[in-house]
Amino acid sequence: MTQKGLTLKDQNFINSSCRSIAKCESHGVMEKELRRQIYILGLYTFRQYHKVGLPSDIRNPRLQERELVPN
Amino acid sequence: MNTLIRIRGWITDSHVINPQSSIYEPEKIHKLRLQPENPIAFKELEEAIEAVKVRSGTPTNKSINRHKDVLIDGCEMIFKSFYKPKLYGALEDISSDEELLGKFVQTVGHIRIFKDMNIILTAHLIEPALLDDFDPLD
Repeated sequence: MTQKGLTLKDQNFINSSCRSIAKCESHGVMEKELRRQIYILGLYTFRQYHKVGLPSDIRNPRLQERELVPN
Repeated sequence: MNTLIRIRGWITDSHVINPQSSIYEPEKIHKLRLQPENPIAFKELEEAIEAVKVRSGTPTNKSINRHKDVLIDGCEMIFKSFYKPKLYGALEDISSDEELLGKFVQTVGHIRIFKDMNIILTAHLIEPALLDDFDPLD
């Protein structure tokens, strides 16, 4: 049985991403790129919680979307 | 032993133009921190590192006294090079590290494993990259 929820590693990654995206904002990264970073962070958080990894197509966040496999 | 890597992401910290030294690293080192565009890059890197360790016969026994590999810090990848990475395209004329901050780039480098079993990510080439046109608000 796979238990749902974020691991400590996931939480550390999310905390670090929040800091890093803020750094990008202070470095003048474009609004559209920041939106994308925040979307990916939300996508990562949602799918990691449900233990399904990142989707093969980031446009499709639903849990049924198959997991992206590393090259 | 070297393995080629190619990472796309945003530069969050740069000492590419002006390399830094420290008490622990007395030689001047060109450093770059990159936030990859997709977190899958971390999985790919971890797998590549494992493959490099296996190929080079690096013992995975943690009781062996050696430095901790610092390639990943939270959501950022850390590149270190003894030589200045080559800057291409619109980055060619950049003269200060501040100008590199926040740029979306592709970095090409190697996973390098030393005889003392330490592993670093090196960057040899940094060039501007293009993001696809995906916008969550569209």
